Amino acid sequence: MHEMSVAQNIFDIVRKNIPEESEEKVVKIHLKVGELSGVVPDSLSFCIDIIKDESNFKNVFIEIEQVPITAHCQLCGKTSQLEFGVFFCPNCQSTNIKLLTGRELDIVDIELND
Amino acid sequence: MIEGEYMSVITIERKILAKNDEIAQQNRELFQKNKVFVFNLVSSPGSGKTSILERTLEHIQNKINVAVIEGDVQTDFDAQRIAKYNVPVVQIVTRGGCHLDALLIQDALKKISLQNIRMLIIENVGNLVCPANYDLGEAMKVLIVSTTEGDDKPLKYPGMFLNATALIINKIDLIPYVNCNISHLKQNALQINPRLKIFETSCTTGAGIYEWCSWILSQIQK
Repeated sequence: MHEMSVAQNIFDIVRKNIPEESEEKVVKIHLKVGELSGVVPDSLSFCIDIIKDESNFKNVFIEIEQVPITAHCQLCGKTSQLEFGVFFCPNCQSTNIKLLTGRELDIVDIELND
Repeated sequence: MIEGEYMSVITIERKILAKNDEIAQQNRELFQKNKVFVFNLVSSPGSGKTSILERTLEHIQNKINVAVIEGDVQTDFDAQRIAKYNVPVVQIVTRGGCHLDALLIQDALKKISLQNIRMLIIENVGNLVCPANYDLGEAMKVLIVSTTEGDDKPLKYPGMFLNATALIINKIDLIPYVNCNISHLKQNALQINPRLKIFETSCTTGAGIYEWCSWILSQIQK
């Protein structure tokens, strides 16, 4: 739902990190989107395409790395991957868990064709 | 890669919403400087945010000075309801935007004199997804879920439940008429966030409002 403003933020950050007037040289933007981030990767790609078409970022390809939810169990000490909507340790069923990953909404790096 | 072409990689490693987080931090510092306790009221549309706000104002406005920021997609209906309580209120109309962000709050704060305020309540746009991602500079998020929404909301919208400090289960007077098992609702919420402080309220009968208000007032000192 808020993917459009997220997409705008992505291009703002990229612009600040590249030399002036080199938008056309950007060929890849690498993102990390966690399963709990509240952002739907397909919608984000769709919004990015809309902005891209109206900007100088004509050659950019978006790589979205989806990050699963992982948690560390404070009781049995095991680190496990959790399914969406299941918030207990799959090993010992304890709810005393600490989330490690899944909330990412990060821009990792960009590639320029020099 | 085509021969003769060179690629360069620029490492960024930055949160996409970092700009919002920076402004939220400025808001937070402003609140701390003026000793204003701020909470962000979030829920689906129609869970009773404005009604809870009205009942809350009735209970606490003679104890402390309160101001309200109202967020809505359209109309200032909510601000009109709150203005009847003679508290400072600013309406933000997002015109389609599905959440409030820190910059909108920063702008709204220009219309409130924080020196005379002890508590600021921000009523977010009704939405259980997007507002979870946007820090506004508040001390805590208070989440409302009503019994008419069913007991599985926590499992469907875990992001919001993870970020909330307190959960108000509203419209408990309607339990006999709706398909909502309140112990399942609590169990689901606590499974996602075992630290949630839970209240059960009805804005129609007034049930639970005193308990909720006593608790939120006690949070000001912390």
